[in-house]
Amino acid sequence: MINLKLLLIFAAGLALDGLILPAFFGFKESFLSLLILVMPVLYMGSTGRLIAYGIVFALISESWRGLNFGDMAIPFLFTAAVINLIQHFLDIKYAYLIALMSVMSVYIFLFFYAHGSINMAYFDPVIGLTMILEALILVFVFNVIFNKQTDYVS
Amino acid sequence: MFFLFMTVLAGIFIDRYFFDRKISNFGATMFRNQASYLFSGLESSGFFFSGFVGFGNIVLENDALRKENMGFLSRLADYEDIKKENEFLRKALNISPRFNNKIVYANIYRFQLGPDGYDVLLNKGTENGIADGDVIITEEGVLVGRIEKAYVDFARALVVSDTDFSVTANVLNSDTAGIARGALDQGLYFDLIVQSDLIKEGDVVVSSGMDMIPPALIVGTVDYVETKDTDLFKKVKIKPAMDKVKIGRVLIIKN
Repeated sequence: MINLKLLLIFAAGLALDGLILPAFFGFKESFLSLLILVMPVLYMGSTGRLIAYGIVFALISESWRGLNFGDMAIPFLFTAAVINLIQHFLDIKYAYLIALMSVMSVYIFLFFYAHGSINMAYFDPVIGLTMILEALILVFVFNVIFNKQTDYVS
Repeated sequence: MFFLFMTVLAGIFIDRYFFDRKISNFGATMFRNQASYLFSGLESSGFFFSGFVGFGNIVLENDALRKENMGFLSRLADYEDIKKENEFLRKALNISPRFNNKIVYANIYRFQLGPDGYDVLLNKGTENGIADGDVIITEEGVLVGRIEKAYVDFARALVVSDTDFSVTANVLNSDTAGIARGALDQGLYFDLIVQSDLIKEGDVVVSSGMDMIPPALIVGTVDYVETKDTDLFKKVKIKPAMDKVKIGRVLIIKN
């Protein structure tokens, strides 16, 4: 059931990001699909199963964006490894802190995507704030879909 | 995690050497026609509804447009006269026409900020004669970008606000010229504008044709000018014109 719910969230994010938001609203600076890629690993823990889902989502996403095979899957794996490392030291359960962590994870993803460098244009306040806002909305959606009664995830 | 890493590496190898990248291009090619229709439809609906939002200003806007239209009609008369004179001189001096490039119609079906700048996909590829470096414009003559990589049945585009994009440009009806380079959501920066150059907010910036991009294509309007006596150059930002027009359907000028 969790698989299906995640797949639906991912499909909705992909459609919103590339089609609906830019075409209907003229909003092209959305990072929703990248946030959806890292959010489950942060929200539910970096288990092998969730990382495998993440790879499948990354492969679908890169195919839909016209990128080469592995262009997003490999950076995602490295990002998941960093998240795994962080989760060994920090036990972050507060949902809205997870939202901020997911924004940080997207920047880590961008760092690995660019082979160890990062385009400074992504540190623009508008892009950063958009990402934070989208991450907060996403956490809210996860809370609703996965029936979380409190602001703390298990 | 090591097993997953090795699986992805094997996938890359198989896709590249056994399937000629058909697996990775599957998603981009599979729904490109449906996505093109959807993108154009959503864009038209978006423009229609945004018109409703600004309904209150429509009388003032109409008045301003009438005045502007009269100015353009006067300029058009001058332009027709100059065009005829230019054609006559080109024939007399045996110079080839200014634009003899082939044009291909295409649709944008994906436009999104991704990990490597904007991910923009077009539904035409090398099978339609499109090649890397071809220039993308709208029907209004607004510069959208250029083809970054053409595949068999689709192409990836580099749009004007991408950080890897730059174009030599000048201010319309002025000698002020420089290089416009993309800055993602900030639009474009207009570099190499010295302090003595005349430039103000609202000025229209067009391509100058000093590089591979044809001249007189609208890049955008000057949005911000910062002048500091201690600096050699002015800091100028351009708002891309493509943000104000429909870009679902575009023209590709072949080089």
